[in-house]
Amino acid sequence: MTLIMVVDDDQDLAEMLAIVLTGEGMEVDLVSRGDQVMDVFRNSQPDLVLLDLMLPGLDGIEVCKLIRAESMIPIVMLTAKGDTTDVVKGLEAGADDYIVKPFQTNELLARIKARLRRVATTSAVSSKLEFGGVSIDLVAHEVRRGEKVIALTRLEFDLLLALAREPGRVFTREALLAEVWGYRHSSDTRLVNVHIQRIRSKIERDPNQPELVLTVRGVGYRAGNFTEQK
Amino acid sequence: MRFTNSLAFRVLGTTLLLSTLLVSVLGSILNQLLSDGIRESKIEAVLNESQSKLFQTENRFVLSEISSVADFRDAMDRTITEFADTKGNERNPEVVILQAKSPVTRFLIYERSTNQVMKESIPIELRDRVRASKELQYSYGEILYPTSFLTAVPIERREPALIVGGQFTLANFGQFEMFFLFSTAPEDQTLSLISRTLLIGAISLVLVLLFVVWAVSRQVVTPVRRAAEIAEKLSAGDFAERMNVEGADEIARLAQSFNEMASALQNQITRLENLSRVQQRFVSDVSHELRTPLTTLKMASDLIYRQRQDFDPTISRSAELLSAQLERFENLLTELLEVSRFDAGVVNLEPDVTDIVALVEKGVDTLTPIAKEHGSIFRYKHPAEPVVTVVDPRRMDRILRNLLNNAIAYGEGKPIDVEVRAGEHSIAVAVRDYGIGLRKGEENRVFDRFWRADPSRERTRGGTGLGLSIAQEDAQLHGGIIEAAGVYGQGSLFVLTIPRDRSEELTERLFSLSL
Repeated sequence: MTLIMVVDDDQDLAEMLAIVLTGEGMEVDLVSRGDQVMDVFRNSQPDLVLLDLMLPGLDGIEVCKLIRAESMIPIVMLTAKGDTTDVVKGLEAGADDYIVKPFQTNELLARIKARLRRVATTSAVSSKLEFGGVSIDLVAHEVRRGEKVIALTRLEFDLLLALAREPGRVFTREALLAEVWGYRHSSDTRLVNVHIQRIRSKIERDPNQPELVLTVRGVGYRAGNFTEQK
Repeated sequence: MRFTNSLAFRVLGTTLLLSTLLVSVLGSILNQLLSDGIRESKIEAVLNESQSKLFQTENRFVLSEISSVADFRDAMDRTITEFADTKGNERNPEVVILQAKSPVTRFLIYERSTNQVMKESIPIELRDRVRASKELQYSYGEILYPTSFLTAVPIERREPALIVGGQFTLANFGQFEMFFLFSTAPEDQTLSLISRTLLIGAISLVLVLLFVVWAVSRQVVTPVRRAAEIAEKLSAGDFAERMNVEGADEIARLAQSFNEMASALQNQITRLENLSRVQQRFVSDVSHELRTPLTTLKMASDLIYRQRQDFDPTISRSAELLSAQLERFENLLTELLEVSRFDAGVVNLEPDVTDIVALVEKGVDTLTPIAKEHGSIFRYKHPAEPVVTVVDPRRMDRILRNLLNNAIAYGEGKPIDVEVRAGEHSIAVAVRDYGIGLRKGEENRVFDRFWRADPSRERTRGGTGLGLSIAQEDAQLHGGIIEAAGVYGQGSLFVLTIPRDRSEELTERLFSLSL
């Protein structure tokens, strides 16, 4: 069973979320205070966290950072403010995606399912991609530089893989949103920008002069310095 | 600092110009008066002297018994020698005696002068006057001395002089003209000394004036310059600076009022900043406080809506209405919040390189299903090349959707023309429908908040009444404008025009607004 941790201080909304998610066959943990999140998180090891940004006790963005320090599981922010700074702060703190209140139930479920879905790796020609000194293990879902394992979130892994699989192709932000986030309509392209930055900071030798994930000005991104291993 | 930019330099320049003008006018008048006075007194003395010398000479000739030419010549020589002898006194003139006409023969003409003064020294004009009058005549001229009889060049030395002439008659020998040439060199020297002194005085006066003005203007300009510096800092947002208040003069008052103004500005700005912050907080709070319960409402409504077949028809229909109205409420809330953000001035552009042709195409594609529901189709015309510019794609998309939705809602199922045009300085998107159209005077009112052409009918079409108003604000944020035109019953035209460079004024129009 999939366990979703819902962190929201609004009891009624939390209960409604629980009703809907349970209806979809998921289990739900409800937490209403920011400072209680980590205890519950360590105990129950959820598969995904729905995180409200405005929380008593501890701010949602801080909570996000704490979870990221321990785990690479998907985090979807619930935000009542569409304001740029909050969204970007949340994404930079490690959230994978966000959904703005008030949202459609369908939309929420689609977001959650997209984040829980594993990228199909069986169709790949090889089980390993070598990528400018970085190797991507498609079976173990691991990224290494030399012997050192680089901790990527699932979303970051998927994003890197999407780029690395088709090295010649330039991906528009919209294409990446569709492929990695599962958005059918183009959405907030900042999602892509922020996560590309996060990936760079983890895998690039010098994040300010990226060699692996390159920006194509005015279009999008492409993988650089790619070689495939038999 | 450029000349025209410095108050001190300007004041100095003006002072220099005006004082030079004044001093030179005064100086030349003074110079003229002095030289006139000196010359007049000289003339008076000279005339008296000449008169007495003339009588003296005439008497001498009359008294001496001249019976032959030799006698006459002898008398002439003696007279001249006497005059020449008395030389040594600066006041004594050179004398020239000329014979106008001789009754006997021209060989009798015997003309003499002291110190070999040449008879060319006497101006012809003066001679004419002397001959015509019994009175003494005078004129300014030059005494011409021959250097030496041995040299070829006859005239070497000249001396400025006042020349006085008179005539006397000698029986048997005819008419004589006697000229006294008084050197004016001493007077000329005095005069040139006077004008030199005046010139030096004038120059020193101007210099002193300049220095005084410079010193005074420094006293005034320094605080003014300081005030300007502080004003610049104020406009840059630094409110800490103040002027020094010293004494109780006008400068001190300037400083004091300046400081008061700065404080008042600072207070006002702090107040406005606070107001804006409060407004922002309010918007943000309302946003959060309303959105959370609305989310719960929507989810509950969704749940009921999805199971509406299980209920009896009235409840089922109620569920549908609830769901639809919640959506409308949500749209209204979103747009109200957007409007209040515009009002608070807290909207930010997030510019990105965007292809307008693709952006419009995407909007058209997205809304095509909705258009079809209303029986309309989009006819999209655009340049073959991408039209790339820097805009906030989210806002640009919202503007387009607003215009397209509007055209669908009021298009009465007729086709809708959409066109992108790219000019040298601007880019324009036109949306033309052939539906209800606009009455005269409604072209501007459509952008008013909550304005509806026909309140009783149009409310059924949904929409918040804020769409076009927000679109207009979005356009203005890009330095652009949305303009509308319409004919009642024949449809309307909305044209969005944005400058290619957001900072530049929009001057170009790519579509005509006449239908």
